This record gives sequence, C-alpha cells and structure tokens, in this order.
Amino acid sequence: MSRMIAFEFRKLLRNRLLLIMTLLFGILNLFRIVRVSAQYPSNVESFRNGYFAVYDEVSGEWDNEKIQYVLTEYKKAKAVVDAGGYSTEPDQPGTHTGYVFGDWGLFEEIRDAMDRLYHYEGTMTALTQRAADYAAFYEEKGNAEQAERNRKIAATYQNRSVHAFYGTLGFERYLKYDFSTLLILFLLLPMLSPLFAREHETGMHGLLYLTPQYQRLPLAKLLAGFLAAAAVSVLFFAEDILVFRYLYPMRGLSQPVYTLPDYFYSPLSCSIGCWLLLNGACKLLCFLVLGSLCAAISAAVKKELVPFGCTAAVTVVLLVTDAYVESPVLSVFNPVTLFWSGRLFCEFRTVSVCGTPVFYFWLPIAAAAAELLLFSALAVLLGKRRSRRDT
Amino acid sequence: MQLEISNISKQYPKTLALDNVSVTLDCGLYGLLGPNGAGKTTLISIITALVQPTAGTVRYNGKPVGGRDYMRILGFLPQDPRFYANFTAEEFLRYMAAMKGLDRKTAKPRIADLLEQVNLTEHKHKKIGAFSGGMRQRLGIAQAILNDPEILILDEPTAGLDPKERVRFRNLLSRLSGDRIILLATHIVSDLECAAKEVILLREGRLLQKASPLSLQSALAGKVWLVQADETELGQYTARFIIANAAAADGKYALRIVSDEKPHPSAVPGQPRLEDVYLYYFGEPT
Repeated sequence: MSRMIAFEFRKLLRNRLLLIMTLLFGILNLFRIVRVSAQYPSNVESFRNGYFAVYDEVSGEWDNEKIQYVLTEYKKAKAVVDAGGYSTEPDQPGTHTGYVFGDWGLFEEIRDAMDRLYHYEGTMTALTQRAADYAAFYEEKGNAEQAERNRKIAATYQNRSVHAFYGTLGFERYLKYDFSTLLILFLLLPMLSPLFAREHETGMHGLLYLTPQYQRLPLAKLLAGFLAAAAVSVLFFAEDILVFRYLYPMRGLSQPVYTLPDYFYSPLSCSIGCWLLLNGACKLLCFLVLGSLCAAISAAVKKELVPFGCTAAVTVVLLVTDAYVESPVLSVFNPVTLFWSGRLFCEFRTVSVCGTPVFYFWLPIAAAAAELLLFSALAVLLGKRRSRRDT
Repeated sequence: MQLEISNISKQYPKTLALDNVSVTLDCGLYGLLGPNGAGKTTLISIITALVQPTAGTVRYNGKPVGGRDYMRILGFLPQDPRFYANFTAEEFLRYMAAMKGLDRKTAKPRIADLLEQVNLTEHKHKKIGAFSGGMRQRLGIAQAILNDPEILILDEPTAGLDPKERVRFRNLLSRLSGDRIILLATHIVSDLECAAKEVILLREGRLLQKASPLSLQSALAGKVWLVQADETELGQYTARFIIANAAAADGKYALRIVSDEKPHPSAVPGQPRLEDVYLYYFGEPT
C-alpha cells in the first residue's frame, strides 16, 4: 500500500504546470504579506524599528521596573501631546518611534495591553466566582442546564494567569492573514481533479482494473491526495510563518493564547504556538473536506474538468454563504467556517446537546470530519466500481 | 492450462456485440481477426472480466474468470495505450509491478530484463510523454508480461511498430507462447502467419472459423486467382471482385483476386495466404 500511495503522490505532483503555479503563487503570497504587513505598525522604517525596540525592551516576565518605565514614558508623551505645538516631522530627537504622537500611541498601546494582562488573573478569578455563584443559583432554581453551563464557565476560566508580557502584533497579523488560504484552494482543485478521472483520459482505467491491487487503489489515491493537500498547505503555512517572523519579532510563542487581544475570553488554554498549529489544522481539515469532495466527483466521471468545475463552484457558494448568509445551521455544516477558526475559538459559546453544554466549536469540526468521511467513502466506493463498459 | 469460452453473448442496448461464441484455448498463440465492430474488443473485455457477458461463461482451468487470483495470472495490453506522460519508463514499470503485487526484490531484476527484451534500456529514464508510438507499444508489452502471466491478451500490439520492431515482437511472442495462452487481436495478418497456432475469425459478433493458418489457407484453395488486366478492365474487376493486390507493370496490372468464381478464363489459381483468408471473409468489392 505504501508503494502505491508513493506512486499516486508522485502522479499528482508530477505536473509542470502545477509546479510553476506553486512557485508563482509562492512569490505572490510573499509580496502580499509584505504589502499587508507594511501598514502595521507603519510603513516608515524608523517607526517600525522604534516600535519593536520598545516592545523588546519591556517584554519578558513581569517586572515593576518595566511597568514603571512604560507608565513614565506614556505620561511624558501624553504631556507633550496635550500641550500641543509638537513637531510632526519624522526622526524627532528624544523619541522612540521618531514621532512624538507615535510615541504616545505606542506607550498607550503597551500600557493598555500590560494593564489587561497584568490584571487578567484577577479578572478571570472574578468571572469564575460569578459563574460559580450563578451555577449555585440555577441549581437551586432547578435549571440544571444553566447550572451546568455556568459550571463549565467556571471550570474553563479557573486558574488562568499571565506571567509575562510580549508584543503580539505579529501573531495578530498572521492570524488575520488569509490570502494564502485562497492560493492553496486554487492549487488543490487542479491538483486533485485528475485523481481518478485521468485514468479514463489516459486509457489506464481498464489496465489498472485488471491488476490484483485494484481494489486497494482508490484508498491509496485518496491518501495520496490528502498527503498532497497537506504538503501544499504546509508549504504555504511555513512560508506565511517564516515571512511574518521576518517582518515581526513574534516572541512569546509559549504565552497562553488568551494573551492575544481577540482571544481574551477564548475557552482555549493552550499556548500561542499550539494555537497556530490548531489553526493550521482547522484550515487543513477544510482543505481535506473540499479535496475529498473533488476526489469523489473525480471518481464518478471521466473528464477531469468536471470535478474541478463542480468543486470550484461549490467552494464559491460556500465562501459566499459564509460571508453573507447568517445561519447557525449553515455555519455548522459549511466547512469553510474552519478557514476563520479564530471566530469559533475566540469566545465562550456553547450549545446544549442532550442537556449538556458542549463548546460550539466542536460542531463545525465534527460536521467537517463527518463530511470528510462521507466524501472519502464515496470516492473509494466509486473508484472501485467496474469499467463503464459494463451495463 | 485451458481457457474455455462457452456460448458467450453480449447484448448492448442497440447492438448484439457477440452472438453465441464458443472457443477453447490451450497453450499457444491465438490470433483474433475481424474487421472493426466484429466484437474483438468485447470478447477481450469478457475474457479479461472487464465486462460481464449477457449469456455464457468463461472459465480458466475450470474456474470462472475474475477475482484477484485471476488478475495475478493475466497480462493485458490495451489498444493505443497512452500511460502516464510524466513517468519515466522504469518508473511506470515499477508502478505496474506494485499494482500487480510484485515485491521490490522481484520487480527490480524483472524490470531490467524486460526493458532489455523490448529494447528500451537506454530510454528507461526518459519520460513516456517523449516516447514515439512504437516505444509506447514496447513499454506496453513489457508491462503486460511483467507478472509472467499465464494468459496474455494483446489488443493491436504491433500498431505503430516499424517492420524491424514487428519482427522482434513476433520473435518475443513465439518465445513466450510455449507455456502460456496468448490471444492477439490484430488487423496485421502477417503477425499471425508464421507464429499463430490458430486463428479465430469473428464477424458481426459471430465466430466464423477457428483453425490453424495453414488450414484456413488450404481451405481457400481454388478461391485465389491471378489475372492480368488493363486500365479499363481494372475498374470492372474492382467493382465485381475483392482485389488482394494490384501490381502495375508495363502498362498492365497483375491482379490477385479472391473469389469463389473464376474471374476470367485466363485467370490462374494462386497460392492462398492468410491475408487472402481475411479478405475472403471480410473484404468487399470497392
């Protein structure tokens, strides 16, 4: 089986046009990241350098000296801004970013972030206590569901603390970047469309059917397709992370994910590094769902343009539906929800399943897993059937 | 070893592709001759278990054909194979070896030997997309015998091969036919003349004849005629008879005619060839 998978994998990637497209998309992706990142925090180099230098200075384990430094610099900058008459020319002496107003904005940002994270433990302790009180209240009132939900809140947010401070702009920009997701889709569909259909186009279908290993071939093809999808995804994910890492410091990978502003109330307690992997895994799951759909259609037809066209059309519909149609049911079953998994994991949201509160994010993940299994089974079954000459 | 094809019929929605065909094949090379639409490909598809017959059975050594065990002893070369343009010849054979269940240790020397036999060793690292038609056919033959099959089915295997390659191929088949059943569907009669044990003639889904080339030729004694004709007579003969050959010389034509009746009082009998047999059964006056 492993030999068959290896050969099928080679068949998929041995495509000069695809390799050229991958290269071009890689270059396009690089330019896009650079262009998008240039705006944050600024496209002025001196500003960027000063910005990151300050963050570097104040990053690390909580330190009163660093906190005082930030507060002092903030007050100093605010006083100058409030007084007015400051210069807006670049490269002002005595500034960090080169701009008085820039310094004020920077230290305000750091001050607010430090404040949020320094008091995070206290905030969560209060929230946990409130949830525990509500749980007791609802228990008393006989509302078991709400009691259970509040117990879940308490359990989720208990024992949370933040021991260090790091700038998170790089992570935030990376997590908001989704251009490469579209590029991966544009590569996956032409790559996987010929998975089964090309055997008809090359006249190999009959020949392969007459081999002892034919019944195992559809599964080998599917697994090779998944491997290829994973390979392309990892290639672009790696490019994204490396380029972002080059443009931003991105320190603090081991910080809890809830140190990111958008994830303050996230039910996840893993590290930022772990979340980056999970985020990638969610996207990969969606790619595999769409890939298995493409494979199933490829197994049903003889022309490779058909699975390409159909899957592309379905993907467009799913993307448009996700963007413009507000429907909880559609959101669960729409696999592209997982492209923007941050939305699923950034807040505490549960649904009641047989009276038990279950995190909402499990629903689209479970639905995608079920869709993946369904389309994969379909692809394998359709791939095993006889030559079409049989009636 | 014995392949029994018993009362095979295949009905498609608008066509009866095969009509009650029965043949038994033992070790040796068998030719399958017939015009387009005769049912050759359908018969091959049924023998290879690609297609189910509407009626009748095909058995190999008493067991119905089909299943993994049957695939292990079967070798097949389809008509006009294209294979995978981006694979090299060696890669493709390694792929087919994996599909045929040959382990790496067995496959490697076998592939090297086969490439040598079909004269593709120096092209083994070349992409199939750059192969000529003849090279692809040779690669197809190599993949067909990769698993040393007991039954080898070849559909138009010499199409696209030059005469030198066809001779090499015929010699290869002769070497192979000693201990296996080889069924060769072809339009090129010369492929079968010297090498075939028996020739199966199919027309419109029906079995016309199954006999050795010599027997078929002998049966045509008195039906092959040689006659001289001028330009005007040529047109008349062409309209009335099957012309096997028309050689021009000194303003006249030496005609080779296949016919039950003597075409002209001056016509003399000719020595029948297998090509004449084909024309007798399948040819038409033009």
